[in-house]
Amino acid sequence: MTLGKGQIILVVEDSEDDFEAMERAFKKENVGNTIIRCSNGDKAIDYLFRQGKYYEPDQTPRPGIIFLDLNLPGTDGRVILSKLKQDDILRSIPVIVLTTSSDERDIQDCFQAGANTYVKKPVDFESFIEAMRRLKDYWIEFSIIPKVE
Amino acid sequence: METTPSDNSQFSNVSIWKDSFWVVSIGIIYFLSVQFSLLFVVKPEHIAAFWPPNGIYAGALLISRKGLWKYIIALIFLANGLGNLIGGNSWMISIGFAVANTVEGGLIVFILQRWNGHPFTLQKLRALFSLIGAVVISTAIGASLGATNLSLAYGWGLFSNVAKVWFIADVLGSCMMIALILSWKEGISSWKPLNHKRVIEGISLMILAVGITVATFSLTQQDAIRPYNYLIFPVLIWAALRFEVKGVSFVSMVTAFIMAWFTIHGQGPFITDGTNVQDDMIWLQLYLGILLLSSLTLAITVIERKDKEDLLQQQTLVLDTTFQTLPFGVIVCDEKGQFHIFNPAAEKILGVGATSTSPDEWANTYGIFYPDTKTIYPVEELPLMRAIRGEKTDKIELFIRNPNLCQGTFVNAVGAPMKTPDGTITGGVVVFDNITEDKQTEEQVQQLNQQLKEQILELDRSNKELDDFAYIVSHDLKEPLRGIRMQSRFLMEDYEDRLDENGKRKLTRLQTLSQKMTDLLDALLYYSRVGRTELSLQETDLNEVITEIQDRFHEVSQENQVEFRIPQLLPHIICDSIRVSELFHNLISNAVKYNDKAKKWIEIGWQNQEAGPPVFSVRDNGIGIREEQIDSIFRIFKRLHEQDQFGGGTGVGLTFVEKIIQRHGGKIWVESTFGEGTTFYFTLQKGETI
Repeated sequence: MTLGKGQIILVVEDSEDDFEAMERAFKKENVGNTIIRCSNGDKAIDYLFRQGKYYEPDQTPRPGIIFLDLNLPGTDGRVILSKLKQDDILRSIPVIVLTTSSDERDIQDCFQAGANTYVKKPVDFESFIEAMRRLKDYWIEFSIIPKVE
Repeated sequence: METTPSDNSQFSNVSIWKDSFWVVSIGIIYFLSVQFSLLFVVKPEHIAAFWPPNGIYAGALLISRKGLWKYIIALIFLANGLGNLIGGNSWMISIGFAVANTVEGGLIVFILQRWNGHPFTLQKLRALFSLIGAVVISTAIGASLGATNLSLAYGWGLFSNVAKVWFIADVLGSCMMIALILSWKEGISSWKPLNHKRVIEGISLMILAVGITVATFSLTQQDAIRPYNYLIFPVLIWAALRFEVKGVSFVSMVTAFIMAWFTIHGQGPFITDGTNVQDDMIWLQLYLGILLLSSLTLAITVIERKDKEDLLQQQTLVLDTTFQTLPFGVIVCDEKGQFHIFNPAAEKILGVGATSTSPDEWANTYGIFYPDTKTIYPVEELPLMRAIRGEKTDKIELFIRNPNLCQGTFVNAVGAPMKTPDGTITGGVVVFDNITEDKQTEEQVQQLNQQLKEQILELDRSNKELDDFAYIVSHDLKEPLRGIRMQSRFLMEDYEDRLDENGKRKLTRLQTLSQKMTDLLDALLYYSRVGRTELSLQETDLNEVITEIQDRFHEVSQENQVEFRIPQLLPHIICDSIRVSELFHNLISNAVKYNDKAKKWIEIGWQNQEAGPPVFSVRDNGIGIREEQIDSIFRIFKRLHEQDQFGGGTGVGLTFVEKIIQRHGGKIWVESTFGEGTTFYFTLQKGETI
């Protein structure tokens, strides 16, 4: 496994249902990493930039990989992405955009901003599980991911 | 002599008879005048001391059209020769005289044409001097020819005397007769019914002229020394002032004949001792020449003055009529501010007519204000005052309000000084127009424009709000919908063993329905996004766009083959290439989807318009659209077929197409024959070809 056991997965996702679907998918695929969820954009920014209630570095380990939804309450996922990719340290963390939007403009913008991949949330659960399986295979098992401190 | 083309075109029997009559009449008159003039032949050289025929001949040429000249000249030659023969001259001398006379008269006309053009009229002093010059030159040549002719027969001793007598006789005769003919031709062509006072005056003039002449020239030798011959002067002045050139020339001619007659017969103030009639005749003719020249000059000066007066009167009339009818106010004043012209329109616009108030009072008298309608206009700044000072003003807006014009009137005024060529200002002119209505109209137009702009803004805003609303609604509806789907899925997963078949079927139905709703929301979302987001315009090669779509179709359905026809290369256009690709994709997939033919084809074409953007077309041989349904095809979620026919769909494709085209400022329209096929035409206003 190339994503270290201790490395956490950050999921920025406002939808309870989608998050539950992800959790189920990870469980089915036996992903053992800790999953931390930020349910809105502002929380995600605070966590990533260690501010607000996440100011303590010990309590906010750097994620090994980020799953980012675009349409979020508070700070928009697109903004989070561009902030991340403009930060010298954080830009190394792979970002998987996982969103309901399939707008060409969003796809273009996200890759322009530095997204590492862009996946449309499949609408039915089977496809969702399949998508998560593929992402796990590629990003968690196949790819080598840097350690960010 | 040349013949002008118009002479030929007038060629007809009537004109031949008229022309012949005219030419022959001239010949006869000339012949008679020659016979008459031969009465004035003086010895010893046997040449006429008074010779009007040449003048008749030249005058006749001047009033005839050029086409007849050659006939007149030939006839004059004959008549002159014949007259000389009858008068007792030899063949040789007769021919010589005929040549000399014909050349002389012809030359006068030739010179006059060269100097003054055709037709020659005796209306200007310049013309009179040309006439005298032409006559003097031509007669000098004619006299030399005549004297040479006679000298060849009788010896050169005669030459100078013959030439002198001939010259003086012909100069006077020609000038007199040409003036007479031209002026009477003029008089006849501008004939007015005779006024009997004029007739009486004319007859009185003639009686006086003849009486004085006869009285003066029948005096005895002693009395003749007295200056009675000046008595004719006032008569000629009368003729000149009242009857102009035709009066002068007629009186001159009659008196000249009488004077010559008496003198030839040894009577009158010019007889010295009765031995040398020839010399006496010469002195008489010099006297006649001075009379003729002075009175003609006077007559023509009168004509010129009269012409100028007529012109001035005409101009005044034109100006007056113009001012009276002009819808603009015109005021003209002298340098002191006294009004000279104050036309009816000016009075109507200002409400007050011309007054004799001093310029200082103008602003008060007429109630002249600034366009703010409150501040009285400073008199010094009024356009007319500035004009008097020498300033030109361009469109100044004034407001007029006085007791006669309670509502007030807006005028636009321009002013200009009247300047003599040396720069002296003699007054000023102001022209103005009532612009109250224009101003009101303009205000109304502006108001309407403003309203329209606001409405457009409002419309834009509400359109945008609608798009935003659609976006928000569909997006926010989608989230819980996803939740419903997920949760129903989790329900299935977690409680599978506890649900019976009926429960499971209902759960599946729930999932299908939420799927359907997701599709609808996706469509709505897309639709509102097309309306919300700015177009990203860029140069796009439509051939690439189509090729890409074509490839996608071939990949997707190997068994469902369709022939793409592209008769001519598509243009490069400026457009949002993503949206335009979606547009084509929608149209093409519709064309493929709604097609039941064994061999399907799609033709993508375009045509350049003279004005406006190119027109694109997507044609298919599909099922076509019923005419009554054509209007509803672009309505969102409108389906023409049952859910499971033709592969289903949400019924949004054409709505997207229309929206994308609208966003590009274009238009879409459709032609279809049910059962045979459909053609969609559209333009992309922003998508101009490169």
